[in-house]
Amino acid sequence: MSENSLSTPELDDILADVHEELEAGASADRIDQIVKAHPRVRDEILAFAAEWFASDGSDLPDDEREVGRTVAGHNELLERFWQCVAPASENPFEALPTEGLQALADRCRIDMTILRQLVRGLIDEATIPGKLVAWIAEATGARVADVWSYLSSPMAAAADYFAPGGRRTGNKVSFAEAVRASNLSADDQVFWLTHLDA
Amino acid sequence: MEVAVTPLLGKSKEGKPHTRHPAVEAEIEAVLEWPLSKAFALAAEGRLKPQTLVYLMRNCRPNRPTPEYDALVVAFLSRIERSGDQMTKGLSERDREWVDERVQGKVLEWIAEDRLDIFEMSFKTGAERLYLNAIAAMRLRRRTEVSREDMVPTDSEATGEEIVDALTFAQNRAMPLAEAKAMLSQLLEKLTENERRAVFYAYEMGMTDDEAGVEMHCTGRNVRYLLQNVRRKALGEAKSARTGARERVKP
Repeated sequence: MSENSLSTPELDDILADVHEELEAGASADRIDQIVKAHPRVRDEILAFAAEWFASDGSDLPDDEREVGRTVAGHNELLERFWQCVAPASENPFEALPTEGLQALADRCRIDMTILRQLVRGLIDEATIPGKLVAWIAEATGARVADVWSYLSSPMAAAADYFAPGGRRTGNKVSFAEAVRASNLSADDQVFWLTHLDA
Repeated sequence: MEVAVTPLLGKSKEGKPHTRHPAVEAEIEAVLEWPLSKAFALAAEGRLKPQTLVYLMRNCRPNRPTPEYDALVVAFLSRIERSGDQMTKGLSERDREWVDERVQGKVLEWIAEDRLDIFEMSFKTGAERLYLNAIAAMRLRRRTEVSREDMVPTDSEATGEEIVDALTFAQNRAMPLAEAKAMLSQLLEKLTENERRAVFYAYEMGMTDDEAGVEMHCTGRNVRYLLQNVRRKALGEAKSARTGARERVKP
């Protein structure tokens, strides 16, 4: 048997199921059943189960947070990473009707001025709280990753990205400054500024 | 409005949605209160749970490389590499390099296909899956004989007929493999990985020595050697246990 018998994602799915079953207490008979259900990848399943049986597993538990090392060849790995991830091209605000913008702002506890600044890339994205990104995603029906990707995209920050001296935040303001300069209620201002070291 | 932590979209084979541990959910909620640059920095420094690091990496990827986000990716890949240390320690340097490269290639594939749910559920399990996957692939690819030094019993007196079969427990195919594995670890603490693999194929999967040899890419005779070694070690453990028990009841 060879891996070519099935696509890689299909084989990965089968091995993920085998792993789950082994961790949950599968017997040898159960592994036999799985092998019979997927005869084309019999060898891969048996080899995976044999390694699981023979291995003591990783000695790095999830509650140990620091690993104290940097992966070898990290620059090359980063290049490969950026080659394999497709940039998001969706503009989560594009499909919103103009009359929906005020409702969106209200729902996210910001005002129209802040919303406009966000969409135009006038707020330094590094200062935006994660929960605002999550709320915008929920309100627009977009994925959080797409909202964040849009807010931090070269399109939203073009003027700064192509500046001769390299990317600068230029005239951008921090989210905290935008909140302080806004007409938000005192409650809403406190709500945002509490966690922003403002 | 509550903070919306993006739910995991994957499901188990039984259709049960993947979920994070409540402590992980709580940490993500807390982290989303902060500016993302601060969250990235803390995650990259190893001050947040590894599952939170993966959440940020998946959900907050910018449209272009940034130093803050890149540090997060490097922290993720570094943790994966560190997770495999114990699992690859018995391999030759050449095999370890092959496995590490395979793991890196596979994890980049999984990132591209957004298949990282398991890492938000349990980073350790996700990393183990990657390494088991790669080591199994390495063994299938190598198709070389198991090193002979691992197999030749050092004690020629121990023949299969003379010793008590201390491994009868391992022949109960209805027993969960995890239980058999735990008993093996407890009873036979010094089995090599090849010996454990021989136990898996011969005792657990019920294969003949020759069939197990095909799976392990060695001869049936080599498998017999491995199993003889296992029996000898099991017998040694049993003898020690009996000796220990006798000593304990001495006046």
